[in-house]
Amino acid sequence: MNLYQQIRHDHLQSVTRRHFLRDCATGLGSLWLSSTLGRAFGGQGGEHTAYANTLAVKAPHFPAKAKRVIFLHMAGAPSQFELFDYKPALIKYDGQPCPQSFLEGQRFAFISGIPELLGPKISFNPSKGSGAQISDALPHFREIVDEVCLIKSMHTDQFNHAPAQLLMHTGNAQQGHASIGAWTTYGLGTENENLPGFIVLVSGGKNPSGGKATWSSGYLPSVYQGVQCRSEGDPVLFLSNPKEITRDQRRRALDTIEEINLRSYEEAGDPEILTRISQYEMASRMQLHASDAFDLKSEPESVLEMYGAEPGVESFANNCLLARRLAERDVRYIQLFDWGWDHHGTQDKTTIDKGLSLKCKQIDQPIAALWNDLKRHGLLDDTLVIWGGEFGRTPMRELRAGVKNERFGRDHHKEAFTMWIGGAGIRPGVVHGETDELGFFTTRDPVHVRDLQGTLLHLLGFDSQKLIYPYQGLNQKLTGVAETPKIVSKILS
Amino acid sequence: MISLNANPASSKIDIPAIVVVLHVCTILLMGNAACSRIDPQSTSEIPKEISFNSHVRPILNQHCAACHGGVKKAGGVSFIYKEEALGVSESGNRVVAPGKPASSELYRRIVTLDPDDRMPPPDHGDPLSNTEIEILEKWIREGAPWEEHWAYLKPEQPSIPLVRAVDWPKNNLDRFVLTRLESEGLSPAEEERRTRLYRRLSFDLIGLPPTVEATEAFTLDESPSAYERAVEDLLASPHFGERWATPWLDLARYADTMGYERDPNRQIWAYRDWVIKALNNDMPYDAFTIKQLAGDLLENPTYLDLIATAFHRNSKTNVEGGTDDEEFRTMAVLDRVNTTWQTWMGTTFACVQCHSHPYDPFPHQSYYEFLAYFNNAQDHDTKDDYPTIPIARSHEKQEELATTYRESYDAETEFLKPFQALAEKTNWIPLRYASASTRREDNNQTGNLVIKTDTENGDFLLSGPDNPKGLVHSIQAMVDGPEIEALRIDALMLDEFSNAKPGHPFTVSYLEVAIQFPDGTSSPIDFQYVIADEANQRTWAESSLDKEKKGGWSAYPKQHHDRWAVFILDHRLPIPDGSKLEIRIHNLATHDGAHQPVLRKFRLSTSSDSSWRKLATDADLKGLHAKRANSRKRLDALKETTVPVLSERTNRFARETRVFRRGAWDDKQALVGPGIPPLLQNDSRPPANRLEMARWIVSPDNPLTARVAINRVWEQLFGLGLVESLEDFGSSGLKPSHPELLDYLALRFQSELDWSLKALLREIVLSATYRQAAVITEEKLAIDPRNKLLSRGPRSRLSAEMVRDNALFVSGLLSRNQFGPPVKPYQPEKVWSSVHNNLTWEISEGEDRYRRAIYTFWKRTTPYPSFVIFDAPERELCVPRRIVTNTPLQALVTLNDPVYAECASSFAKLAMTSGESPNQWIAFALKRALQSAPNEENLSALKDLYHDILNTPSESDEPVDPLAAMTVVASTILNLDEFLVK
Repeated sequence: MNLYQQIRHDHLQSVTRRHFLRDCATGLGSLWLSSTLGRAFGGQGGEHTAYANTLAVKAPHFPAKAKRVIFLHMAGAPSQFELFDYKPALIKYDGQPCPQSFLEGQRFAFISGIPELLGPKISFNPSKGSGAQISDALPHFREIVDEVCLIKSMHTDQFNHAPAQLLMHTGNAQQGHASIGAWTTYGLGTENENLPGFIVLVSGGKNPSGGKATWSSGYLPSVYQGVQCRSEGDPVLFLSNPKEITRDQRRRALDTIEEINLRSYEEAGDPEILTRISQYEMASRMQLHASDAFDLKSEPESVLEMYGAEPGVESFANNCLLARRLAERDVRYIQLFDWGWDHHGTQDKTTIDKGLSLKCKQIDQPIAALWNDLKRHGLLDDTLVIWGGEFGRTPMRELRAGVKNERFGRDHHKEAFTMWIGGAGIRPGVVHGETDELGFFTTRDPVHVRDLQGTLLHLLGFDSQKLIYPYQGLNQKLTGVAETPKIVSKILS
Repeated sequence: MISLNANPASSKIDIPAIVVVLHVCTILLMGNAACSRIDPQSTSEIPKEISFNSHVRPILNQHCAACHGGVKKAGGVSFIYKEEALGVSESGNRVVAPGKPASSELYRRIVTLDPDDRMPPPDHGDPLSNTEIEILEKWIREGAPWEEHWAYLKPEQPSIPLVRAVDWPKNNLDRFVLTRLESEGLSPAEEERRTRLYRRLSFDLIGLPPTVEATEAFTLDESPSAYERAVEDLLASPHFGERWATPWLDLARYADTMGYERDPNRQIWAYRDWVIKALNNDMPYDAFTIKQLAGDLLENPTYLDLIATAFHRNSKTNVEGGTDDEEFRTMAVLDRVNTTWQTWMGTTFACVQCHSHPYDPFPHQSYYEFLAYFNNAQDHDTKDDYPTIPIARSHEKQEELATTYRESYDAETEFLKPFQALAEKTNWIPLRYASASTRREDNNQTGNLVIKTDTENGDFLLSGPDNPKGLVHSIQAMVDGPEIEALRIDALMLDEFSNAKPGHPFTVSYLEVAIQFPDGTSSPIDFQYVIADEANQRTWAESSLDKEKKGGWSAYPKQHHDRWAVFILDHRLPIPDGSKLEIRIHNLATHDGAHQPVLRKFRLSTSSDSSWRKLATDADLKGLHAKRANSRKRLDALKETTVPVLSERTNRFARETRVFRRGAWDDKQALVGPGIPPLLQNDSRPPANRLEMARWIVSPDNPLTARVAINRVWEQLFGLGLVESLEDFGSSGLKPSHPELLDYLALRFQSELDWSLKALLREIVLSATYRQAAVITEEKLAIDPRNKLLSRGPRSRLSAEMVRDNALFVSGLLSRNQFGPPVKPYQPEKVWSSVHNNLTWEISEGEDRYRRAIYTFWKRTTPYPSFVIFDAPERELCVPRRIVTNTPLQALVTLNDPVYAECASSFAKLAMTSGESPNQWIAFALKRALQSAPNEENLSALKDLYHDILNTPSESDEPVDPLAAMTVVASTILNLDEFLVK
């Protein structure tokens, strides 16, 4: 029996229940692929055909520590000096002009003239275990800091938001490249064919500066691009049936679509028709499963409280809870963006003291809740959690156009910033890297954004130099065609 | 690509593994990160005749070029350029000695048994196969004949092949296709059913399905020329341009926003309309090219020629706070280089930005020589998209605008000329400074302004080091009498800056001068004119006399040269001995970047030459001045929108172009002039400017342009290009499936067909190849699974735009209105947001909701969601090819997007007007959607659906009304595979 006969047979056998197409991603697509397409792939990169199979689960280069990723990106770049990188010297030199030797050759977004050094505007206290100094704006995080790894020596090439965010997520400051999430689903496929493999959740009222390009599939086929889901309205665009059409009516209509499409296949013999049939089935399953995955009301009150979540609104807390629900359902790459971390001090809400504290309040409890909840569900063993911004902030007070603002703020800084990473494959309680007395430059174990990306791929089981896609004559890689990342092996368990 | 230790030849593999193994094949065939799309040497036989391109280059690219290519030249050895490959390595060995394999280092190193010497090194990949070694040996023995890659050699007229099935071909094109099919033992498919063929033709030529009436007229027309006539009608349709503009707008990266973080709106739709009209008028492709690349440089350019240059103003503009406009101006220029090569020549020239091309003979320097053609455009990443030209929609108004625009431009140039000449020959007397200071206007904070006296060319003032905004410089100076007529400001470059590294901007937003008499009294001085060194700038220099205006004489966003301006007094001013001038220079313009526009290094001088007043009172010049002002006012009154255009800086203010080290814009190296890669240059001198460069692109000397153009058209019709890698005709791209056909059509397009797109399309759609039925037999699925051999007609999913237009069309909602500002059809809430941009998506009223997709507002950071789901790109950059996917999210769009729900309901209502019974409605709807007479089984399936829906009570136990049931049927039809493909 060939594939078509199989479908025909099954179609007749169960007109209303289509279990046979359940596993189309691995079953039907590959069957068809194996029977007809082997030749078409023929080893020539750049050729594209049928994607029914493209999201099938694939094995990485070597056994992976992490199966999935939750990336919490604070868009705008939070200040390391108020949160993690405690610098007594900055308190001592607060208000002094920044030494010229630091400023030579540096470009800033807004600072001009000679800025003053600025001590931390939020107080610090040690954690109970290791005694790591953590901001009083993050009391909940202080409770879990000894379970994660702080990287204090991050650095990047870009000091404007959009290019820096693109660099962080696609390995390139220009648009048009594939994001880590797209690479991950491209390399590993997805284990839950009822949900997108790469989901993006945004809070703070705005998309990140880099826009959709930060979760783009770039040159990879568009099936790998992040699907932005929403905590208000349909979680996936166009997920709900139009209100005039009931579920039963839709089911009945889908049966007719399939019946007629099968007849088209009989006539034209085009395998794409079989793919379309399976995609309609998958869409129908997604309607059910995505609605369920995004239904926060089904969570017990205690859990909602733990996160500070409130079903029906757009909030970072809701997105954290959704992240756990999606991780539970084996979504491969879960990307959260929270907007509003660009604390220049030009308005009250962007001050480095009050403004930043307010933003921290929105994320601190939800993140700790997510961490503990993942732990409770046993998901931390194979889930990687990453937190950070696209760059850091200056140890100097913002001096916009040479003028001291009455409010406190800090400018963009690419030379040093802090991120944290935890979960699958990461040594808990590690503080990696150091910065100088003023926190201007990294002094020990610098980690470039590219190194972080290489390490992330490593944890997912990939050799970053071998996860490639041929495009425009080059073997494209997340970490760039010419550069080689350094795996940050000291933080690996 | 995932590399695993799996054996691709393994015969027993379970199903999921197949997928993995296929990936492995790809890896193994690609070698060690060297090169992608090179055909493997799979045959074990040595070809009788060795061709460098077919046999040798693939081996070199696959195994050697990663280390011995255009980027890395390990040991001084590279296989990209003939002179290097046949030259001598760093260690002094002949790399390839023609005729003598034994004396050739290449051969010695691939056969040696010494593991230290053997190439490729073990950790770089597998050794060469015996066949590959024998091929290289034979090639060298036969004299190592070198060939350039096929795409860089001019197409040659192929002989028209003889075919066995002599009755099948309808034109020469078919003979190329058929001869290939016959050699593979395949025969072409039957001719497509007329209704289907007509549907295919209609989508291909105008992007819309045919009406039922037109289809019927066509199918009933039995005359032999019926099909030809149908083709002519469609080619003449005003909707032709709307369909064919889409792929061009992808290349042009056309969008209604500027891109980057804030992604603000941009008025550039006049360019979109220009493209549609040019295509409707069948503007020859050579003119179409020249106007878009250099319409502004044509002799007497028309207004439309200027609009055409907006092609390259579709590059992005970054208005994020704190960004350096010079950096993003440079990014736009790089983008123009890459886009030009991609669009016209299918070449991945972007590689050459950072280093010589890894696989193709394009040296690093060539990139910057080509960049020089674009580096002198006036635009510079500002929010106002300067320079723009005003646009009106009606023809008459537009004509008047064009004339007025030209008048204003010429009046300003003519007015300034005599003054500029005078300024050059005037004997300027520098002021003798008494004191100088600077303060912020708002808070009186002091800045730094010093007098430098120990200089060769007179004293100057220096402010700095890096000034805040809002400064007002106050200067007291002794002035020599007995009279003065003009005051000159020289804005000088700071020592650390140069043309290559331009300095910070300045704007004299207001100049205030008073004379202080020896008795202590003072009197303000008024000026009549400000004469700047350069005409027609972003801001009018005379605004420096207006306290209220923040603009004025300026260098923006960077200063490349020393600049000057002359302020002419309104009368000849007597200067009693011991008088002083009190000068206040306001620097109140603002800038969104880091460096505020402040005059930093400058010199003031005066002239008593009476020629100044003489010119200033000249009646003709006064007339020109008034004319300029009047035409400006008239322009403001007439314009409805604007469009950004390309405009060249005058030679005196030209930017120089330098090579960027490793592609970094702020690391400039050797100075270069304009040029094209030596490989492609036939004349003794390269094109001198942008216009000549555009002419070179469409000259018969260019081996790429015509091939790339016909290949794009072919891909639109057949789903696959003759060269599948539309974006890469280089040696790492895919080989043409029908090389002779490619050359035949390319030559025909640029000669007999006079670059006419419509003539080219006519030729292709009239062919028997195009008219084949889209039916796949098992044999063809096995031999030609992707229809590369053209053994059947094309069957491809509609493009994102067609999916929408088709649904609107059959449901009777489509508006046929053309042109004008972009529209905003329904889109879910909260999809549209970008940082620091509070614009909202206000759904268009009335018909504008149902316009063709091409008129939908295109926001780069959040393009219209249902288009994206159907593979539309973001258009941040040039998009050479849309990869078609087939995903569940697409099903959700056509099932649930309220746009499609509205289509279904409207379609149902329309069907219900067609007769009394549901049977009639459904037959009507099916026919309207698919044009063909409904298949009986499908008809009855839909009838069953209708009755089932009608007879099953809804959840609320309400009876279902016929419209609701018919709407479900209509939605079903709008989701049929056959409806979504052409």
